[in-house]
Amino acid sequence: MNIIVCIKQVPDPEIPPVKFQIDPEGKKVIPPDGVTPVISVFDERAVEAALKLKDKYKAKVTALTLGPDSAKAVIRHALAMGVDAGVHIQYEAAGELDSFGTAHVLMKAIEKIGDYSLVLCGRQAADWDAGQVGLLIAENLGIPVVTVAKKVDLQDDKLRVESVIQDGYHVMEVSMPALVTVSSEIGLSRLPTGIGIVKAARVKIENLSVEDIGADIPEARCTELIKLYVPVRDIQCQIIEADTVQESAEELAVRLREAKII
Amino acid sequence: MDLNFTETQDIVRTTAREFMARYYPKSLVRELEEEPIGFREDIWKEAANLGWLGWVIPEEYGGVGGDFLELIVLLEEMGKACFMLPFFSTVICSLPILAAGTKEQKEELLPKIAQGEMIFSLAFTEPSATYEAAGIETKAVADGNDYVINGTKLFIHDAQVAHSFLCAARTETDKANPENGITLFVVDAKSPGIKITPLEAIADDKQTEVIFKDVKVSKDAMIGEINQGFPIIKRLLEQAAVAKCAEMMGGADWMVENCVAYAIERVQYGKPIGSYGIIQSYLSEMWAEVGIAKRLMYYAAWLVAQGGPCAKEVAMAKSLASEVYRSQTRMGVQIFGGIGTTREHDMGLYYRRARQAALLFGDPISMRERVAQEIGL
Repeated sequence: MNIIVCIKQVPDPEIPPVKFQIDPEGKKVIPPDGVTPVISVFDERAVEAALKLKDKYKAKVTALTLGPDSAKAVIRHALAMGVDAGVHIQYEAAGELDSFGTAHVLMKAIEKIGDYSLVLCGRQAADWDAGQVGLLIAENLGIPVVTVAKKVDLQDDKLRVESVIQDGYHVMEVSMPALVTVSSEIGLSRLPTGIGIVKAARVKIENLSVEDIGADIPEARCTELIKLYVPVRDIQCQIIEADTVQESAEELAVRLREAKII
Repeated sequence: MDLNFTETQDIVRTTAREFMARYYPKSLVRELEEEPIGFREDIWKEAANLGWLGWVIPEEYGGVGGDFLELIVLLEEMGKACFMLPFFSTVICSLPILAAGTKEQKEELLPKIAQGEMIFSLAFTEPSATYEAAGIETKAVADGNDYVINGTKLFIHDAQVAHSFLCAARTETDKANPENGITLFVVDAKSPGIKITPLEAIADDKQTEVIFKDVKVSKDAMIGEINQGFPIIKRLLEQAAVAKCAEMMGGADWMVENCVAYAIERVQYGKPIGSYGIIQSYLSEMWAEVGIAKRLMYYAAWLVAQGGPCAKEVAMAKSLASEVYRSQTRMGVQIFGGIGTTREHDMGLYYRRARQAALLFGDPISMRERVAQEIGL
């Protein structure tokens, strides 16, 4: 069983909010100075889902990323977690692509890698939160897709996927090849072990250009970013004063109900 | 000249950071400070499973086979999180075993260290509180196939949880050259005659007094040659000093990041305090001094990793890191103001550690004396 996991490098979401800056005119996020970008957290969960299958069924897992030179660091991270191989589609202007453009390039890369049973993606990227790329890759490849998975397993020659819905989950049976987007409900991803980190440094990452995989970068985006801004949050603090903790809690509940929060 | 971190070092950093976020909140630091033992088996096992205890131990002995610079990155993150488990003590003690132990000793001890089954404590300093050879007065006297150790070790970290001590003892007296006649022994911490008494220290970092009274160790427990232990110890002290610098600079990183964030968020007299000249002056000085001290530490660590002479650079790095961490944590308290002086705020954790760490493996004055010696004064 061969699994391809699509992963993306994003700005570290753990940075202090004061370090997050945007360029409203250029409609871009300004990379925070001195902060190394990281693998998108949902993609890291997708790697974990792939590794769970590898642990159980001895699957071969390949991590795939699209991005500038720096993006191969996320492949190295996935290798340290335990994936077997890494492919980096190096494209310095990857940040300019919308979900359609990104999905096209990744689809071409997946076709180039070939011989896959399962493609895994994070449910959405932790920077733009669009949640489109996985669906569009599946559409481009012409394979079935299941979204927001909390568990992925094999049952006979099919996939058995538990897909999160608002008040529970669906159990889906899917023929392969298929694409599954993975959610954080799958559980914490494993931390890279020391041995994994050291071994990952020795693995040669396959570096390909968009020309190598025959991708046509679309001249125009299918989606247009109208405005980029940081929402202003007006926080007002109310101190509830009461004689006992119970009275404070009751008063808090009353006010939350008045505010239609509970 | 490439001064960037390698991808491997970056992964070590992000992994360590995630580990601390998952398993090691500041509330736990406070709990461990209050407890006499201050140890958590589950976290220790997690660290061992990730290979951290065997980071610089070769794969043939069950370790990771990583390098000293990666260990430095790990220690920085530990300093940033105020990590208190006996990682530092154990890893530091593994280095002389690796460098000077026999094949049998390595096969016996290193896999246990790497798997988290053997915690070590370095029993070096004595009531004279010096890291010079003349400070070693604990004696080891030959008795058939054994040695009998008598003496008092002071300011010994992690003895309360150690399975073994790496103990420096005098096996011969050479008044002309105190560096001669010192021998290193691995001593079972459960040996009859060992008495461990906890000390109350400013950083609550589990220091103890360890008294050795007629403690027997086999000759096979000797690391290196008889009377030839001090060159091994010298190297160990250099490695430990740089490792301590890394912890300090991790703490300094926490302080600078949090002081900057607070200066932007905290509004006083209608403006963020970071817009006032005095706070800007504090923060720009902190940013610069911590940056310089970190880079000197990296250079010293790189020299240590190369295995060549590095006494001067290590002393410079330890002296500067100690002074910078101490002075900058004082400025940090100034920036946080009243809240920074409370037990509830994390600033105090770093303030206390800065004062403790400055004295370990060479205080700034002794380190400057070392530099003076090294430049021929």
